[in-house]
Amino acid sequence: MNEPLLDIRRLTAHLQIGQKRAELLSDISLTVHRGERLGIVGESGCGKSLTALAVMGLLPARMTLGGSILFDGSDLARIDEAAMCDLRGRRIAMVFQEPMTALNPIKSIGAQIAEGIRLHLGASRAVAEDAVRRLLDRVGLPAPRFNGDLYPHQLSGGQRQRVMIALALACEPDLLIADEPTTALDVTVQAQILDLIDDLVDETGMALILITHDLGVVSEMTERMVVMYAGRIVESGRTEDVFRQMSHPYTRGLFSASPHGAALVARRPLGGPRRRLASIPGVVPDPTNRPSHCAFADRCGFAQDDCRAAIPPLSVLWPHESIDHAAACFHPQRGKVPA
Amino acid sequence: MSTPLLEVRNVVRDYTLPRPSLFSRPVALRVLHGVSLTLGAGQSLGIVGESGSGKSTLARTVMALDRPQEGEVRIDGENLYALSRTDLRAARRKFQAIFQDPYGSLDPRHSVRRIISEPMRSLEAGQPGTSRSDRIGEVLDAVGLSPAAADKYPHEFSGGQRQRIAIARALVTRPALIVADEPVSALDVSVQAQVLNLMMDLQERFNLAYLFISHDLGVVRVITDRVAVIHLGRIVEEGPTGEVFDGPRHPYTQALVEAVPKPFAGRRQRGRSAKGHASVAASGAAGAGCPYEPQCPLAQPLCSMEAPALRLLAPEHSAACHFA
Amino acid sequence: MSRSLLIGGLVTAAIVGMALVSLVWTPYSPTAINIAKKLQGPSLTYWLGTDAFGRDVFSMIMVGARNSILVSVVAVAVGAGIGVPLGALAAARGGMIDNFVMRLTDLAFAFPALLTAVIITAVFGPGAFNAMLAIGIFNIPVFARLTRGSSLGLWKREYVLAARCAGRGDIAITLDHVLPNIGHILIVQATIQFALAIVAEAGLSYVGLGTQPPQPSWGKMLNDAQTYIYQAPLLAVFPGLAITFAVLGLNLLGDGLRDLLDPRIRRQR
Repeated sequence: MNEPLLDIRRLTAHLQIGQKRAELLSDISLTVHRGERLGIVGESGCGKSLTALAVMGLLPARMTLGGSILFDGSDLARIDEAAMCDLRGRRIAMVFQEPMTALNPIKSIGAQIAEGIRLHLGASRAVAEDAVRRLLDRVGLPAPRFNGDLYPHQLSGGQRQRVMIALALACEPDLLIADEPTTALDVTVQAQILDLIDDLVDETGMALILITHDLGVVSEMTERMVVMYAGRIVESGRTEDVFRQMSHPYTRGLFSASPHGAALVARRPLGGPRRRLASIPGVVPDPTNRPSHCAFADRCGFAQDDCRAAIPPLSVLWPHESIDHAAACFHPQRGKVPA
Repeated sequence: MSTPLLEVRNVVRDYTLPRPSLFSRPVALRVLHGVSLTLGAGQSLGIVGESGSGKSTLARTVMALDRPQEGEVRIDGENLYALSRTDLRAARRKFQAIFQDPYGSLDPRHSVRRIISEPMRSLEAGQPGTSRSDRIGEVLDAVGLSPAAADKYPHEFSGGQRQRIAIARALVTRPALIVADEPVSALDVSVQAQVLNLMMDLQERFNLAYLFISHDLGVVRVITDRVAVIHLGRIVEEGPTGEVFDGPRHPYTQALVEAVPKPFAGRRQRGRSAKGHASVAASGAAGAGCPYEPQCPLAQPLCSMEAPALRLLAPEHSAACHFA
Repeated sequence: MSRSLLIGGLVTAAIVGMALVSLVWTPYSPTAINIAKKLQGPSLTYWLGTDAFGRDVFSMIMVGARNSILVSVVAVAVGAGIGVPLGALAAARGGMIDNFVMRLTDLAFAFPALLTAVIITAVFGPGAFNAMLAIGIFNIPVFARLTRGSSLGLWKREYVLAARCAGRGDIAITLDHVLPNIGHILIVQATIQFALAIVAEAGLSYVGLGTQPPQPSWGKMLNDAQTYIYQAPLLAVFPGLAITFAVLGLNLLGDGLRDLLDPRIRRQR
């Protein structure tokens, strides 16, 4: 089997706050192949964005990293800043949630897109200008209505996100990381942006890591996914398998709590009491105070004594020729998902 | 027929834009083009729309915060914008609001007790204050917080708990209507479910009516009986929530419903309806035609000539489209 | 606690302390003339020496601190007392009132402050009281603008909306929700304006329009020292140092208070 493009092995990150030690990422292992779409799902504070920032080499220096991040053979966790700068933007690019803050308000969008091309590829001004035009066309901002002389404030939220995508694509990266790229957008605009990203991955053969809290987005956009909770991967596998099985109780809880999931079956009987959502009781444990047993045990309806004794490792449930389905649970759930 | 709890009639709201220069004429932007709604006691009505649709302006108008140029807002038959200051104050006890941002909706310098008692102190000034402390305990209990929470400050709570405090503040005057403007949009899914469940519990317990404003169709589906879809300041479709989302009649509603990514849908099917994004925000001065015509995949010549009115298609279900 | 807060606080406290002590005790009377002891250098008897009339420089600096602080406090109080309500009103009501208040402050800003203070004191007569008013008037627009600017953002906050839903009026909301949340900004600005007022008072006294003799003042001392700059250069140095320390101390204090009171910075630490 060919080498994965990105191979994260036992990645950890922690932060020392006075006497306290905050475990932000624990034992994250995942791989992404060229042309593959990986979804990372979880709630705020689960570490999904931190994982992306670790790959980009953008974690604050105060955080201590462990493990390795192999990107095309070189370990990004050990590489020096100059080499990282060379990779960042050119071979690994990122699209953020809030396009207004990610773009420089006082530079034209053309100049911002051209910057990367000229810096990384050493292109001349004229070549860069051509490239900007082509990129704007490609992300659905056609001439004459849109050109490189526009400024971010002259564009709508969706158009700005298109500019961000053009910026990310400028140097034809091997890996695109999209961190909640459509969360700030209206639903119809979200659909257009997701279509665009989907097309671009097909066309360029780059790999995609899509970070989202929306199960619908991950289901429609990715072929494999990991679910994160409290700094760990709790379930991973082919997207289809994960949705069919939902072996980890947290995955099930997340699904049942989400109104989309509930709406599939919940129809209120006329005049009867409204159907409640299956919410997950309690809150996520604080990163400075994570238990030495399963972090979900205290919120879990299926927890038993062993769950409060040790941290369950991510273990394979159903092997698959390329992507195993694995869950970090001593009592993985089977059978139909109770929506 | 009895008077509904909330009746919004033909509300028109214009905003004056800042003048481009000192000597040019002020330009008005019409945000609401004659919106009408009714909501009965104990019922919940969802308002669904995208950014710029005017849904938050509608919420402010219903809250008597933003006087409309035309039309009226009636609560229990009283037109809020025709009341005197004292009468409006008395009327305010019947309707309260919950907002989106659990971090911005509580004054960071006030204790929870002071936050929750503000509506009581302001709206029930003439009445004896002896039972106030009991009532704070009651509403805290109703939203699932301990009485000890009263002496803490907002920063000591998580986002979900803050939203519970905001709900407690809205409940304390025992209102009949709560206007909720994106109350769970800033919360994580599991916390969002807790807050939505709480809102349903409270609705049944206190016979509350909700005017529930959201961009999230899933959330609206869970909590509302009826839904109105708003597009560029006009209601384009209105009806029972399940019916509207399962069988949308207006092409805009169809586009909205289709655009929501669904779990179990498998990989994306591309190349669907929406006619691109060419027309964002450009529709300030709409012509005579249907405002959705530029984006509508089903548009006919008639659509650019005549704006469709909201008409009844089925019992309780109406849409503003010539071809619905 | 930050270092600037500590140093600024200590320096300011020392000057305020000196001014307070001067109310009950000074080494010598700051107005007692003793020609026999004129223009002496610093010694154990006269800590900072004597001036051309044989007055004790240290005693004059102590009482000068009192006069400077008095003028500055009143000036800042006048500025804040009128400026803050004006700015709060402009932010709360918006529209025509806002426009009117802001044009008024534009007008006040259009005049060079010190020059106008000179004109005011020249017209109404020199003296500490008129100096206070003149400096105070030029603090009004500073506070009005600052209050309006920082309140505007708060008026869009959801807790203010919630208060309006609770039927509270503009004044109640301003007192309850707006001013307490911009208090830290105003306090920091007040310390900076305080430092500026000390310089302004010294300037007015220097040209003879501020505190009137025989009351000692730092500006007047500087002016007097000019004549003897070659015989007794230290005479100019001490009041100069006093002004410098006062301004430096207040600015450091302002910086330190900003760090201490700003909720955003506080949360990051």
